[in-house]
Amino acid sequence: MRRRIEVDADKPAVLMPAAVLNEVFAHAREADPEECCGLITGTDAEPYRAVVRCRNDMTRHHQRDPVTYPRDGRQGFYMNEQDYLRAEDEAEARGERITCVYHSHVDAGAYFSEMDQDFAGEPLFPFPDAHHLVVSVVGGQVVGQGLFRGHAEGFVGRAVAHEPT
Amino acid sequence: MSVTVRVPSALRVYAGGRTELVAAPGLLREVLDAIGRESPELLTRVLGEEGALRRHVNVFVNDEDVRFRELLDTPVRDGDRVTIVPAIAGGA
Repeated sequence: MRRRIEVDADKPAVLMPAAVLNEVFAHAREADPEECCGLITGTDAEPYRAVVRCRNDMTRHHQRDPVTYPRDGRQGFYMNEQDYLRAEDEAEARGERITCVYHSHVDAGAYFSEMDQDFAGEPLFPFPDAHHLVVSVVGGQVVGQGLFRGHAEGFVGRAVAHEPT
Repeated sequence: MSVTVRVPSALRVYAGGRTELVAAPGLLREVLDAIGRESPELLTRVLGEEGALRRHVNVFVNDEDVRFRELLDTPVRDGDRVTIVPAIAGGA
């Protein structure tokens, strides 16, 4: 059985451009009390270049089919497929790719949950090489963030900090 | 008379690298059966052993999610676009 994965405080923080991280934080605050979700695009040389906000359809799915989708957007995200397909097409047109999938947890920590692992570890997950940025929002404010990467032994979490300017 | 089936990047390896496949109109199950004859490994990634859509895979006919229509009995008409889309989801 899977367990949530926390940030490994012994590993060095991953650095992200301030503009990228701040845009993710702004999205997370604006989406509160629901979780936000979106993508970060970039290249091998510059993996965290641009943020693409996507719609969280979890509440809509929950309202239509609460049996299949028992959670609403306060406890989960379901990325709008048209949004992520468009983001992928536009990234490819710019010579970029999807390097990171982000979402927020509301009134919960910046861990990689069992449900996060369930989807991200699925063989058909569309961006298997992407990292996963999780932002914790408590009381309407961002209070933590972690970046999770898949490895042969499973996902490993690291802290995230602004790149020095 | 034909419909196009968009293949997501994660599944293109099972479709000979193609981004789109073409099939005759019909019910969605008939369209998927047709592409499955051409790309059987692709079909096994979309449908489970019991023949239903896999949990983490969504299929759209044009812009409509077939889970909210008639699932595999959703009609696909000439000129329609079928999109296979793996889900991205999670949460606290």
